[in-house]
Amino acid sequence: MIKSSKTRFFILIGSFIIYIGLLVSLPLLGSTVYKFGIYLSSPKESLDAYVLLKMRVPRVILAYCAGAILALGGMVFQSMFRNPLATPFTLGISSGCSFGAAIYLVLLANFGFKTVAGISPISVFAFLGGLAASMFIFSLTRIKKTFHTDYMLLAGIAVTLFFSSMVLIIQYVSNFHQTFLIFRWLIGGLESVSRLTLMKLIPFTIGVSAVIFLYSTELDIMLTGDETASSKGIDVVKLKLFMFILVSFMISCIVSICGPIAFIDMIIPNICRMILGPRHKMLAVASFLAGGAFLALCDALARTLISPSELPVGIITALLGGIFFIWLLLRHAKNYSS
Amino acid sequence: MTTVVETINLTFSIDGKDIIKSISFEAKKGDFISIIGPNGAGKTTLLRCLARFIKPAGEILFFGKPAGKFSRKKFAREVAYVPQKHNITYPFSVEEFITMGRYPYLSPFEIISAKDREIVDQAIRITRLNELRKRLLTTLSGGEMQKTIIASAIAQQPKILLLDEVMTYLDPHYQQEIISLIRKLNKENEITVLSVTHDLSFATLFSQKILALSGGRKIFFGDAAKINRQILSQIYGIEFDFINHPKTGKLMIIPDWKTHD
Repeated sequence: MIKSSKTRFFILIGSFIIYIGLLVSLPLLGSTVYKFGIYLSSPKESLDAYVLLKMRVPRVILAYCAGAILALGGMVFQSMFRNPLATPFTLGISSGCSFGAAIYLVLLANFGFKTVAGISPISVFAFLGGLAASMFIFSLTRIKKTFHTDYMLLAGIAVTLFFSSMVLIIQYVSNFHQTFLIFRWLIGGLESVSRLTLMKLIPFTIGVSAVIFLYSTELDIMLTGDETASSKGIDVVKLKLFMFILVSFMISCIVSICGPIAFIDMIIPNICRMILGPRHKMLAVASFLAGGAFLALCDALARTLISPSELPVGIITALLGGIFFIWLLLRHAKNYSS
Repeated sequence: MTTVVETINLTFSIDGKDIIKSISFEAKKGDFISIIGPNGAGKTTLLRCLARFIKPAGEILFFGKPAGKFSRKKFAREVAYVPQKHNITYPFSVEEFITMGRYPYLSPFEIISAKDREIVDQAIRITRLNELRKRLLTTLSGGEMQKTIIASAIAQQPKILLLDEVMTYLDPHYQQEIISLIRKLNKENEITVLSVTHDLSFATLFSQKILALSGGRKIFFGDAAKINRQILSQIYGIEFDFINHPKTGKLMIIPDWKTHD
């Protein structure tokens, strides 16, 4: 953690500049690399400009939104439950989404559900699966009156295993084509997004991020422990319930669009916390910026590494994230707060 | 004298076993009450009920109003709680943590005002933490940490202070510093203090009243000077020697450790 608050502030400013820089430059990368000047040409006249504006820019914006939401969701869960491993993914929300998607792909895809208002039926089912998983975990933790974190993490592992097994069963009994579709969905990717979806996603991302930012004082105090937080005037049960619903909702939304993109929700907030310390005013902004930029960067790598073919972005995030996280853990083992 | 806390038939049970059983007592404004009793007597449970961490059967009234009628924020303006030991593993600075004591006074999404800062400064001054202001909680010693937590409680400007064995892990120097701090708050600001302790001399020297618990039941509640050997032997199952403090003449209690060799 950097001790001087001035330095921390400058890091944030620097991150913002990089953030904007990447936002503008990443769409230029891909199987063909464009020059910056292409932004000035009209998509009606040039095919390259059309590809850039209609395909690559939306994809980068989707990455920015998804990354920000994943990182903020992870940050909230880690802080609420004071555990760097407590993230929406480890608690089983994304596995619920996968289960929903698999059910749709195998059992319901033939019923001819239509895409409505930019939301595809697979997204709807994935979303419902995610909510079901989070509701299940939530009710499990409510059976025991105290909302204990260890208990919840164990429940999360159980839920993840349960839904993963269900997905395996579905894959096993389905045909070759369906198996591939499920497999492809499980890896996660940012290819498929309509303009309509994006136009909803941008305000949604800004909205939920703002809500989380407004709760930064409460999240700060939550880090001191449930009892201390409660003695400082926080209604811990209510706050946890609210955050649980909010985060489950936003994560399910993102996973239903992009598939379960792993690790962002665990690494980004942890790294930001290591560098900037525990205060959420800064942490929330940093997670928002870093989550978006990191996912977009990973996606750019996914587009270019084996070009003209593409790697799924989920593989890149898992690989890069895993390595980076272990490196940081070893390096910051001393300052690392669990 | 106004009654600030009153409990009526407080009972709290886990899996059908009563941890505390129909405890009724009241604390008046400016009281300093020590809660004593053997391990497992229900002292901490009683304190946790009063802090509203757990919800017992029976009734707790604060200023004549049922505890449940207070919002958490309003409650935190009246009652502050200091735990026995604290392990905050996140590197907040001492000042940041003390500032959290002002949270009960903030309306939703409001930022700390200049007046709040002043109150935080005052809490830092009283506890003499000025030099540690920017230090991280993760680097503090036990005594410094305990002072920081008390400073944060002071910043809440409470009328009632709940202390759970706050001296247990402290060396004599910090014990002295913290007891004079608590006495000052009790005497000058008329803050009602409810303190769980195993140190019987602490109870008789500094508090006006003693609440003795055993097996979850109230055994004795009254003037600290009126506590006697029978009650203590009954609840702890050992003998005690009563002596007088060499300077003040006040009652001190020494457990008989049966090591007269």
